[in-house]
Amino acid sequence: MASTFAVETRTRPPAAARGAIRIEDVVKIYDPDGAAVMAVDHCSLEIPAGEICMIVGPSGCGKTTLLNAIAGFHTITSGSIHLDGEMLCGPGKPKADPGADRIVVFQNGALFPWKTNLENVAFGPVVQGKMSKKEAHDKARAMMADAGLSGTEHNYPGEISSGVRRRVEIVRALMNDPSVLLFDEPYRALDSLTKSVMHEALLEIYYRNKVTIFFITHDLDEAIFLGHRIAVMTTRPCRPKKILEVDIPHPRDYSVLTSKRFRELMDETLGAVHEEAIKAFELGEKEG
Amino acid sequence: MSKGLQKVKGAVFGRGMLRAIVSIVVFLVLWELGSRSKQWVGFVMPWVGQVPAPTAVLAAWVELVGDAGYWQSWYMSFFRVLGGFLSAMAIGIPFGLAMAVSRNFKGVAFPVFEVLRPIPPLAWVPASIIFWPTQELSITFVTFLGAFYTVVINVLGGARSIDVRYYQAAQAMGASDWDIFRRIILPGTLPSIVVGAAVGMGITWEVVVAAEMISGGGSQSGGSGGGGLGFFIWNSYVGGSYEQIVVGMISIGIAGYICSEVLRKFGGIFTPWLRLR
Amino acid sequence: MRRAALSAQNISSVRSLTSTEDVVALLKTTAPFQQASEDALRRIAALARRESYAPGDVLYRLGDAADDLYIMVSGRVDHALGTGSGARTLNQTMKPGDVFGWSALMKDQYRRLAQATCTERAELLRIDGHALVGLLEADPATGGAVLSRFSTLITQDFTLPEELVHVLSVAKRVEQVPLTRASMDDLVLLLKKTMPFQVVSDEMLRRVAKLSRRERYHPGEIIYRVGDQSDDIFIMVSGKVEHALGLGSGARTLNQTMNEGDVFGWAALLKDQPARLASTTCLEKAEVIRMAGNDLIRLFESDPATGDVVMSRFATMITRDFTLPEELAQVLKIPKRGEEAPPTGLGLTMYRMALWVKSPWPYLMVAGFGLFLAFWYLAVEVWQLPRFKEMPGITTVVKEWLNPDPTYGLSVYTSEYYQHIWVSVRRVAIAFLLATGLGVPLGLFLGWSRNFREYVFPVFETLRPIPILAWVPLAIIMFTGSETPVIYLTFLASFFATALNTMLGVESIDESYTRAAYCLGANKWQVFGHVIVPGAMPFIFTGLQISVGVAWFSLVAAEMVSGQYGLGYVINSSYMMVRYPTIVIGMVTLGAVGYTTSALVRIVGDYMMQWRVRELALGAR
Repeated sequence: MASTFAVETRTRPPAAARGAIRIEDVVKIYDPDGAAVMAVDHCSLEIPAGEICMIVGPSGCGKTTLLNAIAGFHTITSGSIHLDGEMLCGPGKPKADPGADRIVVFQNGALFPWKTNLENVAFGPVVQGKMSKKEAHDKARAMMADAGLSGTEHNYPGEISSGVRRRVEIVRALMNDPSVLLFDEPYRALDSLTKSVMHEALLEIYYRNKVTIFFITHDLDEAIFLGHRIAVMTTRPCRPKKILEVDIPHPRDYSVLTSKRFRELMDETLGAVHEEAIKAFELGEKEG
Repeated sequence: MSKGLQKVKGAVFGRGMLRAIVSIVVFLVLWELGSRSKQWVGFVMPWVGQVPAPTAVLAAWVELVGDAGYWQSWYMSFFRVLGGFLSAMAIGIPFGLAMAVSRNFKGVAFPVFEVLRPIPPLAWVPASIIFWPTQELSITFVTFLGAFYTVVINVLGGARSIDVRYYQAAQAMGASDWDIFRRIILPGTLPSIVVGAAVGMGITWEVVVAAEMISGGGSQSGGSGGGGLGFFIWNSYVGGSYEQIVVGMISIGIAGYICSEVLRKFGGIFTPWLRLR
Repeated sequence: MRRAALSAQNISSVRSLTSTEDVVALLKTTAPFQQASEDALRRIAALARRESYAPGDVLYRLGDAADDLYIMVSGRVDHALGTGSGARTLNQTMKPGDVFGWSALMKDQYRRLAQATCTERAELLRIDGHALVGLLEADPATGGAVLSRFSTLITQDFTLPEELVHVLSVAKRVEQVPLTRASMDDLVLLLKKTMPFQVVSDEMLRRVAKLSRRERYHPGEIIYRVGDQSDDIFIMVSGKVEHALGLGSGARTLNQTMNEGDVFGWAALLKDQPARLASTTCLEKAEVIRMAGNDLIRLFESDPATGDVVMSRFATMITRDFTLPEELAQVLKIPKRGEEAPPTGLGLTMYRMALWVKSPWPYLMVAGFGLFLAFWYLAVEVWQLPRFKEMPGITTVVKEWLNPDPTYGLSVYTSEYYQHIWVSVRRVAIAFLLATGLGVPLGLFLGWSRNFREYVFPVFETLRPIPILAWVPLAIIMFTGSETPVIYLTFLASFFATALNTMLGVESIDESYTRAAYCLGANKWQVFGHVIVPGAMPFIFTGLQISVGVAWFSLVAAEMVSGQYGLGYVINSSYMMVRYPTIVIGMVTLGAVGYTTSALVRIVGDYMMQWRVRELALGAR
């Protein structure tokens, strides 16, 4: 037990690490056909650098809107979002510029099907002009080997299983040395067995790279297993309802799932989430 | 209520609509300028300079609206399109379904079908004129051919895309072959039939115009209205009234558009389960 | 073996060994074999081949596969170690009695560390390293001594650093336990206890046992490491071995202890897995049997049914006991006899042809054509049915088509026939290329830029419902000459199809792809080049297929109305001049040429979209 503690202190991110996100009073109002729909309502959330923050909430509650605002895909109506003290978007600048410091791993995966896995992984540094094609390919090959993906370099994404695709996508993100990884329910479509493998692989990558992770999910097991903290969101409009610290020490492995503490946290989260799920169901929100 | 009203307002005065109007107006103005370039600039613009100006076309059109022969052309073309289209549906759908149901029939018929398909329908015009006793029938036959291939291919594709699980589910519930055909294959292919019909309708109009030009364009059909819109165009060309050519073109465009829209509505009635998509 | 042996064969003849005694005598003079028993040397001599090389021959190069050991009989060979070897002296001359090519005996050393070039006509003895080690392992007493002398030779004479040679640790590499008939039975019993082989017949197990070698390891010895070549599979006989899967393997449990009857080293049986996924270290003095994965697969080819069962049990074991994710535990397939293991190219085509011929389809097809042609023949020429008898009969058409002196002036023997084809093809080609060159960029921008679309698309949509053929008179008015209007009409149809499909293609691209590209730091034009263009490709090619089709469609109409040449003109003018058989010739030719062009577009599309072809191939399985 003592030894796990020692490891634990080591894996806690140093305070100076990059990737601290501050979301302040963000409001997002959609105006599709004249009728304003409030997707995010005065949402404030702070994520320390190097932490895994899990965003949990019912489908369509506006979690993805928040992620899109951080990534710079959408404007916000008011409020501000800061990354490491620098304003991404806020007063006078409704939309953040998308950039390689915040990389999204998409729900259905967004590896370019027309590029080989290697070309996909090397894409970032090449288009940014940071590396020559050859350098990028060499680095990509090395990183893929580290992640146990050797042998799939010259396959197209359509030829490998969805689990492997997700791993390639994460490696593609890490090639750019981002400060934040934004996950938009990436494992939603995977079966639970593959999911468990993906979770451990993700933690392993996290222990090696120490990036801040903003992870949207509605799978509570996933949230508790991965996260340092969990933000349970209210259904549309979206705002943190409850923030839980997950005090199970890192590094974790699958034995955590059966621990007593895990069950307790589960109970605590479930109560909050269930209430919102019922609200969402009654509103008749479509998946999305 | 107010929401609905706002929606309508948005559609009419929305940015997209505004831009569409701007773009079409600019197009018309450029066309007008181009065709009148000789009068105004003293220099004939290449290509556009030969085309009658939109105002002239409009004037010609206004004149024609009262002309029975013009409407007779509409009627003739519609009549032929309908004849060709309906016969293509009447023969194409059972033929396609038969191929979808029986592998053996498909084995016999499909290769011949595939060999004949690359021959453009219009290449059949002379043969059709030789074969069919009347001009009318030969035009209808060529029109039929145009839609026939598309309908058959779509029926086949639709039948192939039906999820195997539907068959399995039906069999598990004790459905007979007839039940499977009626309750699964038929509705399963309906959406593709609708699509095939829409595409086929487009081709039908293409073919009708050409067939009318090629066959009717010669001499037989008496009167200005006997030959349909295709002949109307050709006749205007031969007679040197260029404005009427453009009127004819636009008329055919409108006629084709109306047919497709009507078909889409009909398709919607036949496939209510797709409405929410 | 490969490169050195090949170059040697060019010039040297492999001579028959003079006598074993000669070889034994020679071996006795070499450093490593000096103290081996006469008996052992005789067996080693049996492995040797004698070869001669001409000056300038390269025996092997740096990085070649390290396979054989060489002993100089006569002549001179220049031995140049690579700088990476760490040797103090790199260049040496090999004289009679010298031994080189010893990397063949090194552990974890599959490549040559030096280059050996013949400088004077030389005769050499070559011994296969694998076979030699096998021999030495069988006689541990002599073997240990010989191998340790090799270490000395390498460090002292070839000045390789001690620590490197220590790593080689050739001497303690293996302790082979000879297999006797009695121990064979034990082996079969042991195999019966293992999970993958449980269900295999004794007969088969005996053959599996024959592939095996038995070895002992001492505590602390590493059997293999992550990333090593995965060649053999291992079965524990006794002792304990620690099995540690690499992090990249994706396994949930990484460390396990192997006990009697456990099987490891199964990476040798995984598909596309040339390297070890785990490291194994001996914990307690252990005895194992090992066999080459490839040998095992080959053995099971004779009995694919059993082989499939064994392989699927392997897969289960890997996922269940070693907790590897299923997608990684893809074991090799046992190739079936008579079914070419993955057939490619011509082989694949032949295979498909064979399958097709065996199916009822070709016969039904022949029946279909037979019916069609027979009806044509009977209706027109035999029964002379009303209406049908006006039509050109099949025999008339074929006779006319193949007639060197055609009645109506057009057959495969007349140059006019080809000229008509050429004119039509040329028109379609020009129109198609123009339509592609203009339509694809237009469609890309229409799909990509919302502003552009909102301004341009309405005009596009207003013009599109007008049938192409309604443009005929206007085209004749607008363009001078007879060629331009025809090409313009053909172009117009293709252009609309191409532009529209390209636009739909861009719209079909999942927004995630463009967002991902922006995320990864691409600018607007990079997104266009890397995402929009390739993403729209499938639709573009669908559009081009349609485009060729409609190009022919409108070409025929245009030629019939206003052409001077071309296939459409042939058809129409033949009608006017009552040359009915020629109409059919024109139609059939048109169909054939049209089909060929659209097939060409499809082939080009497949070539440009390998990713999609492969994806679809997987989906079809």
